[in-house]
Amino acid sequence: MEATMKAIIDKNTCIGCGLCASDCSAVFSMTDDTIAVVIADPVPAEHKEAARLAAENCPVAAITITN
Amino acid sequence: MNFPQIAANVWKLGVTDWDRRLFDSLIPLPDGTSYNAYLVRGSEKTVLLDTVDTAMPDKLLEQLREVGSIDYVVAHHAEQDHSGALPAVLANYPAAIALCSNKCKPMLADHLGLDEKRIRAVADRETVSLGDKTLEFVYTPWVHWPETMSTWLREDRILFSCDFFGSHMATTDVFADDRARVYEAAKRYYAEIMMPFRPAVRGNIAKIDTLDVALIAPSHGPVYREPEFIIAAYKDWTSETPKNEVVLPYVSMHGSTRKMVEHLVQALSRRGVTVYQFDLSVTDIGRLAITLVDAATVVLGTPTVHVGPHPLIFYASHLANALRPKVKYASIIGSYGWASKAVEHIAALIPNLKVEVLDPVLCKGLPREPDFAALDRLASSIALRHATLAESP
Repeated sequence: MEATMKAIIDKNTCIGCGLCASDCSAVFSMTDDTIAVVIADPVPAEHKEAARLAAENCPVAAITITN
Repeated sequence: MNFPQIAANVWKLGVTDWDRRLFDSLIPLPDGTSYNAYLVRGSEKTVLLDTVDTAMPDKLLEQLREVGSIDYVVAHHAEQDHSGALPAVLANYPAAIALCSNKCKPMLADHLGLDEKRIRAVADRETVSLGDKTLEFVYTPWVHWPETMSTWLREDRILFSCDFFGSHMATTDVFADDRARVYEAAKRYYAEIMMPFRPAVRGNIAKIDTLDVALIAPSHGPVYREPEFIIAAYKDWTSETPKNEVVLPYVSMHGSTRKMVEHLVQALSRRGVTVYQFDLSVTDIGRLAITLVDAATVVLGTPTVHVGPHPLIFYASHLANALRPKVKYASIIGSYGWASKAVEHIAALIPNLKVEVLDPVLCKGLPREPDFAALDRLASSIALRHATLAESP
């Protein structure tokens, strides 16, 4: 069976730039436009690549991907 | 008023910076640039959209002398080339309020030292009435910073897009009717500052696709009165399907790497692949960035300095890595004197590029027949992969 992927955002590190929500809107969303939250847990298979991209692109490395 | 009028009671102000040759102390500006501000006069309120670069507030203030009162100054983007003269404008118009996105407000305070009491944050899709004209703010993050927004002037169907769709281009033309010239300048601009944020740019294009746009008025370069031209170009550039093109930046110190480059370029060309060859010692990196927008493959040509790649190759690799182009394949060719770790060095420089690395071709000293044969195999390998591009997602 394929491993389950989880995305975790460090709320104290996130600066709310919104890039993750732009890169992967299926998994990341902006709450009140101030901080990103994960809205798909576990990450659906079809969005894994975009979620990884979002984690790599995060300018403050606030996103951890586990699988 | 003595300014170009782009619609009824809508004027283009700002400064044409003919002589600027470098942006961000990095990006060449072969055609200079402009910092556009726009003035919209409604029956009740007057708004200035964007200002000009920090270096030239006096030129804008001089223009504004003709205008009289200003009620609002819209700051689409906190960067200094558009908001740099905002402190001077607000100081001269004590009743004016700056309008910007939620994220822009603290940035204006951070970057320009503006008093937050003079700034009002507006929400995405919020409207402000000028009387007979209505401004609707449209958040367009990542074109160019996270705080960037555009303004939709409903009655005149004008999108004031700030950096989005802009071009670094000094010109006396108000409108972007010289398409060939504007296309290249706009592509250069997209490549340099927006390419890394393609998914966000696609989202913003989808957002403005819902508007029936008559004019796009960016804050650099001329105004588009046939906006479908630049919107179609952006859709092409932001697609994830690369074209049958190879970018080949190289350095050659004593001519051996150059011989390999010339052979590979010929071999690719014979196989129907378009190649852009750049000698990095004389290359405008903006031109290199333009070709990275569409290319499917990057081949780096480097001699070995001591045991690693030439420093200019480090620079180009780092740049390509930061711009995150849609390239799918990469390889390395070059000549070395006695030993080389060029491949290992370069691979470590481009972690952001999700590429299949095709067999590098490195040779000791002058390239010989087996090396040319290896270059032919590399060319075939590239052509074979490019043949499947249109089919891949």
